[in-house]
Amino acid sequence: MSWSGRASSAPIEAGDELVEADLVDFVRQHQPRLIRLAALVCHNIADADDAVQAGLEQAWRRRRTLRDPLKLSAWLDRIIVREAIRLDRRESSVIGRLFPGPREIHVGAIDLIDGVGSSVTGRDAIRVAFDRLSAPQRAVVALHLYAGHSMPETAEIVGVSLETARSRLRLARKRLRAELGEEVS
Amino acid sequence: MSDRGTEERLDARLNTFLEDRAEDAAARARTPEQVAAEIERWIRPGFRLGLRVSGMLRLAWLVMVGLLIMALLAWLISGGRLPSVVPTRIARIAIDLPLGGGDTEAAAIADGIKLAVDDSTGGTGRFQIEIPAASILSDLADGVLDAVTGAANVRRFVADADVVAVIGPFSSFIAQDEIPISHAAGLLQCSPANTDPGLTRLVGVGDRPTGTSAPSGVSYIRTVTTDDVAAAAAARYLHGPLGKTTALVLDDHQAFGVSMADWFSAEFTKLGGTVTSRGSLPDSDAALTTLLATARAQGPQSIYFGGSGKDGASVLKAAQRAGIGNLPFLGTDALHDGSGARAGSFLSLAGPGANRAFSFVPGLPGGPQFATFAARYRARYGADPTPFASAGYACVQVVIAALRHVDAGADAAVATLRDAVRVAGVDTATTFQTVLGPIAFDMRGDVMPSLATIYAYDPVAGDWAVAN
Repeated sequence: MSWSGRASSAPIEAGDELVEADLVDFVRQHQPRLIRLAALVCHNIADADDAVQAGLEQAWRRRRTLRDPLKLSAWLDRIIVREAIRLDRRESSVIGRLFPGPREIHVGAIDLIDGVGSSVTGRDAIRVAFDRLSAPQRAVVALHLYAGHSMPETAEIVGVSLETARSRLRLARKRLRAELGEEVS
Repeated sequence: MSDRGTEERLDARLNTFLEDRAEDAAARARTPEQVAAEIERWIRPGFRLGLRVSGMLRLAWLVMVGLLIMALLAWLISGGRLPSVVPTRIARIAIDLPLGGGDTEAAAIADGIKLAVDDSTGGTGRFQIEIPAASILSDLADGVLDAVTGAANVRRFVADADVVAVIGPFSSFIAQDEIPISHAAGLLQCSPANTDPGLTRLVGVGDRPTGTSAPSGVSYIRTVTTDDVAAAAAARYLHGPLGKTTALVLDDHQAFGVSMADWFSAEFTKLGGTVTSRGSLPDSDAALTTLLATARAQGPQSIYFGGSGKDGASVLKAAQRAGIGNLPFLGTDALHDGSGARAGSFLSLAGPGANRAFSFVPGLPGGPQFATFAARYRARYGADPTPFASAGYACVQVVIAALRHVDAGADAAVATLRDAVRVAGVDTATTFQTVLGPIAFDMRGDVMPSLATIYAYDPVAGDWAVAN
């Protein structure tokens, strides 16, 4: 199932309807789309599940504060993506407290994803490379390339300037190219 | 291909991956009904502060908050420490390595493992992680590596109901006898040093043994990559960054050296390179010099040697006598046997002739956590961590991460808990944050990404240094 298929089928809520909506219906309507988004930002499905639950709970509590129902989807995306990034930072900080090290040291190494005798497939290679991106970088990639948000929308959802969002996307692509090496060249 | 073409190809692959990952997550996530039920529980009136509650309840909340603030102040004034979660169950990590025989590499791995457990600050909440002396066993018998002893060690670990994972062994041939035992018991086993690809894959090279770890229900994982990856890395480095298209390839007659030379030759040829001569070490230095002098006529631009550091130094010296000592000299991790200051090491035996030598170690070079880990290791043990010591530390990190994610309760049966740890540890969808960087395991238990670290001789330090 594609993201765009989901997005186009999601009806826009009217303000009053949202306030009076049933919680189960609300979750049913938005969780399938949001879990896909969160899974691209988080490292594992458990964190993605937690991010979606926490985000939907926040959204449900604050649903009366939403003035423009046309922005419901973007509003939910913002809550879930920020929650997913927060959870990822918390996850990192568990070990990070023990090893508050500098950024990754790049050293001479050759990626042999398709090396002779290697059992690693190209899909595994891109998964590992993608997981090596920072959570904010994954968020920009997911929102722009997967969810189809424009860069200004992506920047607004993540809560950064347009230039910062573009920079994150550029760095993410650069890093993926470097990690995947000749596979994409 | 142009940059734009490369970018489009990357985006296409990325889009496919994102779609797949998102769908996989949707299939494995909780259902909307389950999520709604959980949210319902949390937003139930009175469940959290801030909801509409009766006046009495609000007063009770205020009293409780006041008491909490007072307790917090008292705790701060007393300079207290954070209260720790009281673990309800011991989770023992067992170690099987060739300890006690003077093997400095094995001792370094054990040090890395113990440091990792200490750094875990005691546990994962429900579990108190420990490595008692009784759970650290050597697989040496009379000072010699012994598979029977290794197998007996693992049987003892299996019989200990507190053991949730085994780290080791060092040698792949011992792993062959140990893996079926840990596998039958559903016990997670993580090796920081087994590099034989045949443990997890059918490699189809000569009569090398094949793996015993089943593709389904894998219990064995390793935090080092395999020898074939290191050999192929040498071929790619030679053909790519070093820009050489011909190579003279030698081995030492031993299974390891022959396999490495074969894997190197296969990859180098696949890349378009030419193996000008392929041979094995003769019996004498004089014969070796003659062999190399003959091979020189074929015009090799480089030399690859599959074998030990001592034999590697002999080959390099013979190459100098034959007039090809200035060629890039590439070897296995066996050359990585210590600095030039260590008597008997490749670098000490080869002397200045090693100035164009490279060694290829099957393993990951280190991630964001590495610098801090290395500093802590140096502070405690007075030496730099070896690649295998880092891999040992990473094994513990994987076990601890698995313990954090187990669903089994702290009072679960031994088999249930072990299986939960095993399943979490070998889950191919999980990325583990380790000192090696983010790693994952494929369906066979092999670590990803498949990287080999390249070392070049640093004449100033007189030691190996990671190549730029």
